[in-house]
Amino acid sequence: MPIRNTTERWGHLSIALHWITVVVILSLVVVGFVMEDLPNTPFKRDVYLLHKSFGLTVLALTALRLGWRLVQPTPALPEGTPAWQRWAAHGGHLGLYGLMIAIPASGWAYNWASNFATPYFGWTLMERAGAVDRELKAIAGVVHEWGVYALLALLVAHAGAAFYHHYQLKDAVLRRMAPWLKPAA
Amino acid sequence: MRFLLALTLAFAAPLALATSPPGPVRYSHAAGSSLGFASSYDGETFDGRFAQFTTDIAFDPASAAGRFDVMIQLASAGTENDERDETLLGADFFNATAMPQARYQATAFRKLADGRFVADGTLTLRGITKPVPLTFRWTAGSTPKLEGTAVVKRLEFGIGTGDWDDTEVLPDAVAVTTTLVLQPKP
Repeated sequence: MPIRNTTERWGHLSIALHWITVVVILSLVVVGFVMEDLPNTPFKRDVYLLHKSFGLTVLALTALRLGWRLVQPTPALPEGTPAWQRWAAHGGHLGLYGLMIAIPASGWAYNWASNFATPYFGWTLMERAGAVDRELKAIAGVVHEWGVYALLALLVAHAGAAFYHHYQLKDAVLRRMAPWLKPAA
Repeated sequence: MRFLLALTLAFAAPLALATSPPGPVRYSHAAGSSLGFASSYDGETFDGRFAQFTTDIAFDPASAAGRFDVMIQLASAGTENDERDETLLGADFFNATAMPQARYQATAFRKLADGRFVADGTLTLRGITKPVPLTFRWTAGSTPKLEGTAVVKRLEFGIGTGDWDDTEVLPDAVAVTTTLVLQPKP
């Protein structure tokens, strides 16, 4: 399989970025909900540092995916896909990309407004702001949290649509992104 | 009548002396004063300040004699980071709910060769009292100025023990700095 996309199928890079993002995002969501209630210990801080570092990784991977997608062809939806489904697919993907930018970006803003330096796996990506910005912190916190709820809703729809294609329509839409799958019986 | 007056004076004079003893003027701090601390965590420095504290300072630089009594409201500590402040005020550090105040007291003073002074005082924090010398410069005047530094070993006071006791990450020594703009107490 080639690294590049065609109008028929996804290339290696797009497939790898997709599934890495899935694993990282689901881990971030689980950890994100748990870490808030951890007792204030150095361990909690370490968990936050990792959450921030992996979140920034999602931001970088999403930028890479979008860039790659813009310079590459995209596999077409199957012939005869109803117009509303095309719109739903495009809208859903747009939403997923938007949230994969907005959620880490709002987390980064929250971190900055809290007057933390921006960490990246032991490195300091950006020095702390010097002062707490409670207004920005409140806004960024709401965007971050509700962004995750919206992302989870879209993920359910996204996976549901993929299974609908695979098991109901028995087309190649899911297999294009999960080439290890066998065609549905 | 004269006898009554004499009697009143005889009793009142010692009373007056007791409430307002002779000696150096007693000062409290005015606007422009600060009480701060600095440390680092995992290599990243931070500093903080106590917004609320009260001072009762008497000092005569000529004889290097006096008395310091400073009460510090621990809950007023801030480091420009809500999450760190929550930890700082929590049970592992200041335990500010259970022990709301720290107190610095000094009655013994020394003069240094460079003109500064050392207060050989004690700090009471989390119910533990330990000697903490405060080195300070005293600028005399009608509103004297005190600029001091001290080093507080946090672990002596049980601050950040257990999970936080790694001094490679969070040093034992905390630098305390203060600038007091003093005015005579009313």
